[in-house]
Amino acid sequence: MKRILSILLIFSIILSICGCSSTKNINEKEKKEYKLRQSFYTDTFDTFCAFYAFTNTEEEFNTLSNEIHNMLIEYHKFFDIYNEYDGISNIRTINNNAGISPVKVDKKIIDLLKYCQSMTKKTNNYVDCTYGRVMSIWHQYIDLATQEEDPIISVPNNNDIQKALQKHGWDTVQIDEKNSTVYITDSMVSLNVGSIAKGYAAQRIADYLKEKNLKYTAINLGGNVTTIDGKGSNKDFWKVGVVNPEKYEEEEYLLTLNIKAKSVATSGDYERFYIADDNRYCHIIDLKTGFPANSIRAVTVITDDAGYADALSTALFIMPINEGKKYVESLNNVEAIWILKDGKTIQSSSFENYIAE
Amino acid sequence: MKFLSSFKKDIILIFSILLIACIGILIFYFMPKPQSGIVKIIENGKFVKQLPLNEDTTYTHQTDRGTNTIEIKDNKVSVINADCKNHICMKHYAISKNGETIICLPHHLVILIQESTSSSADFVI
Repeated sequence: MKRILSILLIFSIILSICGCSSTKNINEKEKKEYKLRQSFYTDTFDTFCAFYAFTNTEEEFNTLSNEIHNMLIEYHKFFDIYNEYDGISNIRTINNNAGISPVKVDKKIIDLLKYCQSMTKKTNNYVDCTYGRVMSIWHQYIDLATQEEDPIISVPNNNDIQKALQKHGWDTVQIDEKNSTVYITDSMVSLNVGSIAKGYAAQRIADYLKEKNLKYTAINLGGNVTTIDGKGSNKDFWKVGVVNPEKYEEEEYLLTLNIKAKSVATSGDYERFYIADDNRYCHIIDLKTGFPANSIRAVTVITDDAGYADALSTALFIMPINEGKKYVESLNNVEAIWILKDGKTIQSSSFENYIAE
Repeated sequence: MKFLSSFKKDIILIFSILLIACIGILIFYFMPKPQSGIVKIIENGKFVKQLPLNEDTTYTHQTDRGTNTIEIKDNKVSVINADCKNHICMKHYAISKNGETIICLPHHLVILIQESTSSSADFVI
């Protein structure tokens, strides 16, 4: 009897030790655990957004995430060129009043447009947000060609393109900072900030996070990644995979990048496009010809500022590759990789520093 | 076993049991976890459903905006049917690595893999 009792005693001690340790883990998990948390938004900038942050609790993260989400929604509404919103004057409002009257807008829009204006010169005129007229023609044709019911696949008439191409110019855009108004003097000119807006908005979020000393955060806004410091207090690298342009068939990334306190942006021909007569028409327009750029499949840019990365990736997608390579080498703190049509890649001189083993 | 004293028999028994218990604990802790990941479905930014990645199944998710059917097979997830306007989600390769996603933007749906030990990038662009 004594023997049986002692055996039972030993068993129960062993079992309770096991039980104790697992309960302890569960409690700790529910209370405080410094770890990486993520949230995803599908309602901003007509694209997918992922926000990552290290926080101690789920609650802290949710509060921060909601804040970031609301900020993004506001930028999305302000920078929207396709929709208007009750009580808000945005870029579509400015476009609708071209040749009519100045529109009073939030300072955030003024700041964006000034930034876009500076990017025209900086990218040697490859990125110019005043070419909205020709861009909207292609937007329509891409929509028609990719709609599910009865898609219409056709290419715009070259005359129409050339006519639309004439209608542009920052000289027609009067930005009055004092009164916070924007007036497009030519009724045929319209603004299209698609080449810069997402990266710019991501950078504004990054600035805000930095201001609040919220390090170890990162955001991916439709392919524009910006990282505030490293991944966690160990300051690991954030891993950014550069997708194979054939991504809907292949599953391997072309390469993985080690990113810390940098921004990355990719421009490619594989997201918004259609094919007509064996030619690919994508959404990035070569402003010299009025037709979609067609010389490479994709380019990925790494630099500090996300708005700059966005503008640069667009410019480099259009620029002939030799010109693009020279251009990147002339810039400080910018690296890039070009993915050519035959699958080969070309890297800028120090790009390899960013490649993960 | 008359030559062993009763006390010694007890000791042998107790230690045998302890040994078995310890082996049991060690096996438990060092056994490779069978789980290969969790498939999470996020609608409008909110987590609504999860499924194990290692159990083959099909699951249809309905929202006000439409329907998507996902298939989990051989530890990979793909969208095999959807009534969204451009079917981009259906063209995506089958995902299997931690952090990978398939998005159906018109339906505000994100299919995400988490808690998988297979390494992956934090962001894919």
